[in-house]
Amino acid sequence: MSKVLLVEDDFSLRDIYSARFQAEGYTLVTASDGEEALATAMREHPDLIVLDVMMPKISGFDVLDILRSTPETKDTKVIMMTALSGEGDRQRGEALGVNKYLVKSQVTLEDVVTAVKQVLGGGAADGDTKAAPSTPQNPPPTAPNPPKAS
Amino acid sequence: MRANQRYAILTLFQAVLGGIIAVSTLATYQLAPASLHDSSLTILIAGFGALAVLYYTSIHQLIKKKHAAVSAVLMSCITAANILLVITASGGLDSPYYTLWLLSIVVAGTFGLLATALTSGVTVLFYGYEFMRHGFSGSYMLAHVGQLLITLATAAVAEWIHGALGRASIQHSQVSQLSGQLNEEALKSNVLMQSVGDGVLVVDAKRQIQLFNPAAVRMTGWDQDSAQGIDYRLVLNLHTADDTKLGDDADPFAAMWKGGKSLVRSDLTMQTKGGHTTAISLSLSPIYDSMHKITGGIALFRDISAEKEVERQRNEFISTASHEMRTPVAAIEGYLSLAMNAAVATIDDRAKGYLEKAHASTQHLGELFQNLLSITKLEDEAKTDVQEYFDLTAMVKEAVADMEFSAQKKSLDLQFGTSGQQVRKEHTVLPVYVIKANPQRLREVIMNLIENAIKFTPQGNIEVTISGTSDTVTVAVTDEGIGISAEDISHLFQKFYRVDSTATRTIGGTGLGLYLCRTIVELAGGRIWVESKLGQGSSFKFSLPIQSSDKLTAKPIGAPLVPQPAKKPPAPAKKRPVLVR
Repeated sequence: MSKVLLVEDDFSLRDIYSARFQAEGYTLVTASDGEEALATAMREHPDLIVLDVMMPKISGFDVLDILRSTPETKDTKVIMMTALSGEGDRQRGEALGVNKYLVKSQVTLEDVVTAVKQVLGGGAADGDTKAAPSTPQNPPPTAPNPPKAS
Repeated sequence: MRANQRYAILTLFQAVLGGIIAVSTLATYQLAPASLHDSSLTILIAGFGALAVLYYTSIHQLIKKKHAAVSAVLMSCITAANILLVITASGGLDSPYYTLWLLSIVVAGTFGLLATALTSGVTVLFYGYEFMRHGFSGSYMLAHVGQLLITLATAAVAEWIHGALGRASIQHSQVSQLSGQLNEEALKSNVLMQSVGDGVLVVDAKRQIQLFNPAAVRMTGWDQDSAQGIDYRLVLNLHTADDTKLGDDADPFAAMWKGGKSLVRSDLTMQTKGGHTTAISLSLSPIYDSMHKITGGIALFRDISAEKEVERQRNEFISTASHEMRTPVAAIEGYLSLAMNAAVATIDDRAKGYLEKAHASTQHLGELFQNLLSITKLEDEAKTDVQEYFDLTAMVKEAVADMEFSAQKKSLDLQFGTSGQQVRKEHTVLPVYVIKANPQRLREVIMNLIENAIKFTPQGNIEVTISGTSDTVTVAVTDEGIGISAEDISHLFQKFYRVDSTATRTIGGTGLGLYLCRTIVELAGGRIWVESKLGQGSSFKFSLPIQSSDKLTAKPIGAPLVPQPAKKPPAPAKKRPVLVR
């Protein structure tokens, strides 16, 4: 089964993603900052790294840069998760060779799982950088959106 | 000299005169009775003199406050009678005391034309009486006609001198009064200019500074003398918020001159002579002459750095607070998702129902933070909004495709059309409407309106249309939903306003969505409005100015704008604030 490295500095989110990924049957290793992420990646050789961008010590962008310039990890698939919704940040991630760039405020937990499945199963990145669609058979319970009567 | 004072002096003078006449008459009566022709007349003279004194000390004292003039006239009558008695008693018109009458005439002259006329009249009557006493003898009358003419001439001269002096004194008092008023006005405006806390600057038609107050000196660093008479652009060194110097075409004075109207700008900064930058609020008003031509302008400017700083801190606080609060909310939401996921946890159906409700509330909360952040960001970005040129038709079409999944879940029919004509096939040629806006933000607007339509339409159709005139493009999202009452429509686009009804209470919302929409559309130079009737559906519309299509760059701008490949199934709604940090 695929091995996923989850890099996330917030404990709760790490816990949540871990539980959800394990439910999908992935072997999971975690790291809570950029430094630890690089060390774990070299040691564990994961198939996929889910990488938070805003982290202490080394930022997600720098981690990705180092991964891509290191022979052992230059082909490792990477999904970036960020709170930065700016177009410039997305382009920066793409330029560094990210497989998928997700904006946290725009995706649900299930969207992330779908994205992971796609990247792991779909071979090379298809260049589609849009947020992954929800799995139709398992949509989020409700989706309250901005109201009409604002 | 005040009139009342003059009357008082006149009355006193006459009382004294009356006293002297009475005393001297009595003294003569006692010491040299032989020199008196007529003893009864002498007693009458002394009596009138005493009457004058008596009048002065009694009645005059009672009425002098309110009727000084009347009292003076009465006193004058007593005195006149007394003098005439003295003259008659001492030899008629040839009496040496006739000089007393001449004196009376001169004094009367100083009290105006009426007094002169009266005394002259009395003089003529007295002459008539004297002539009668002498049996109208021709020689007597001839001998005294010259005296009468001299007496009347004296009255005329006295009156003329009085008039001339009066005119001069009136002119003098007017001049001093006017100059006093002028001084006062000058002092007032000077005090105003000196003490007003805002910088005041007045320019003439050549745009040279005519007036420059101390606050302006303090704020600009230019002293009054060097600022006077030079071009205001040198002194009021205006820059935009991002610190580029304002060109002549962006000059607010030029705009004021051209528009002929007052204007207020609070988005500018000013560079002082010393090179410091200050955020200012600038208020400009034109000065018109009587021909309605602009002859100058007044500029009022105020340092608003402190206000700007407070605003920045407030925005920073909201931004930080909602960001910090979103982290635990994201964790709660994530754990709830896990609990509801059969692959991770086992719960019974009832618990699942509760968790779903908790999850929905959490999402609502997350959305609230998201919207608060968006608003703060929008207000921050307002001046440095990243606007791009892009095709609105493509964006709307894509947004409709993205929302189709949500509409299908509620069995609603969501359609996209252009100018009334339905476009459902991929190969239909669509009109291109190039607009200038922040694409990510504008996409939020379209999604928001479609989401609202879906949310508030229990069943029926939702139609999204795009249509344009030569200069504006209008997007309309029309539903067959619950509609909005007229009173709610006016508040609909306000911050935190929510229509209160059973429907809106069961359907969640933050009260910020439409406010955001309005802010975004207005930032792009457009407007947003709604046409609706309660129970008959709503039509939300926004229009934006159309830009020239050659401004559209060949490269698709921003990922949300890339048209989706036809074979790819439409992506369901994805703007869900979940797992947010």
